Amino acid sequence: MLKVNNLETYYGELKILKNVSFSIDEGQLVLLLGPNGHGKSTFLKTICGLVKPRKGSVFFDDLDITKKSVLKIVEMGLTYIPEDRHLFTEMSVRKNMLLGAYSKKARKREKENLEYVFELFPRLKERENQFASTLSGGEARMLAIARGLMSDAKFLAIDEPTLGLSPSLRMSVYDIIRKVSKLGKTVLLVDQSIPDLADMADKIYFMEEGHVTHVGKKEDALKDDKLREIFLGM
Amino acid sequence: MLIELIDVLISGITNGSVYALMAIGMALVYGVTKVFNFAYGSFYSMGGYLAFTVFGLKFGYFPVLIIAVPLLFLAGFATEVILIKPLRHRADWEMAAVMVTLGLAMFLDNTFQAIYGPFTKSLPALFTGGMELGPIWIGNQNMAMFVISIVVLTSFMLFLSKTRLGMAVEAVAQDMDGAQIVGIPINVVFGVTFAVSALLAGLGGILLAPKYFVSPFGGWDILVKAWVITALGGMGSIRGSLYAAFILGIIEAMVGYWIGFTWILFAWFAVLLTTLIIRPQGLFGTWG
Repeated sequence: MLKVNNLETYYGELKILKNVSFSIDEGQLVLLLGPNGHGKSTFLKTICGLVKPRKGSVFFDDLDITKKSVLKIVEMGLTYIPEDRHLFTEMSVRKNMLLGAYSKKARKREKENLEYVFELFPRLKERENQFASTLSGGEARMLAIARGLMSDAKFLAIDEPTLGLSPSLRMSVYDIIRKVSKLGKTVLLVDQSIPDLADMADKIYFMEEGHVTHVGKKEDALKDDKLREIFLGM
Repeated sequence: MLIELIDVLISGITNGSVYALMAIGMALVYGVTKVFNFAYGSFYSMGGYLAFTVFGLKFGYFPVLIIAVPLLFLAGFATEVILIKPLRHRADWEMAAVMVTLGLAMFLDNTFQAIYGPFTKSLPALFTGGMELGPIWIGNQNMAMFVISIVVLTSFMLFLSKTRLGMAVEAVAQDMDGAQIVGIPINVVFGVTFAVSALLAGLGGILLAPKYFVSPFGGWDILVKAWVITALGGMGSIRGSLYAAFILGIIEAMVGYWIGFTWILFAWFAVLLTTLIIRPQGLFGTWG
């Protein structure tokens, strides 16, 4: 579904992504792990079109989207859910979610999706008329995911959705991602350490200093001493 | 004394309503694009000259609105597409855009001068006569200005809060990246923002032309005034600009009546500076 070949992305003259290749099939749940500041977020921003690569290509559903605008990519069904949320803070929770369904495709299914997403996040339903700026950190993170789900995307690229959350909230976010994945959506999840989703992940990528240093299943990762130490703390 | 005060207040509120119209256009562009639009005053003059030209054809005032409004909208849209959009991929585009609007202002003002000459043009009042409410007299012209401004302001606020495109405009103002990732067409929003902004400025020019005349460089006064209002309200805050416009409109009427017209801008800046010392972000520091 998504195929990335030899991607190189720069911020100014700083080379962030170095020859990154990546692939994910429809319906898969793939984890991208690695330490902070090593290019994971840049990778997501590049595939969703916010940042343009200097070299390499991105194919989505066999179409070259390397030079396409974010708008086109969203309309094709790839939605990015950023770690720093980017909510519309001076608008109600409900309006934030409605704006999540801005693209033509999403608008058609806006009602059903709104119901469904509120079912997933009952907490947001309770707060639907509050401004997003009044939400707690955990709730704001949920809203970012909820807004992303409203886009009716078939592919979700989620950046560190549990950063800074309490363990119980973290579990419920993972539960939601699990549910979304079971619905048949393709999910690419970025995190810093191996989360509880590792067991159900179809593939795990490790990224260090802008390189993909490992690809494989959780078991494969466990065989690698260095990875085990860094990512599992064992 | 009381009658005088009421007269002055009426005049202030009428001024305030037109200022609100114009300041909101400025706050809109600043709020959404973070560009300080130097050409804003030129769109005000453009409205005045359009009114003067169409009126000269002896069609009366209503055709003025029907012809000028779409033209102003188009002019604003074209400004964004031709001058601003090509800059937007650059990292320092906001500063470049400010410079471009300054150039556009010079170009437009000199074009007005080349076509219409350096002297002021006057327009007859939209309405003559007035009504008497006991000892208080309200001119129909002022009444019409007030009503048109309020109707336009209300429609604009409804556009922002009730329509999908309006919500998108607000979303871009609050978080441009957030707006992009939900699939809001940024180019359309920028274009519409400039278009509506030019429309509001130009409409102000049409409404105020009978009162203040039209001149090639008259837009700069309006730019300064619109800037003072938006700064007092909080840069980029629509609601703030609304309140600030009425506050300053009333101050203008009072100072103009009791102290003298030359003291109006002095009074405005005094109010602005005092407010900014106490609240550096203006009355309402954020969008909304």
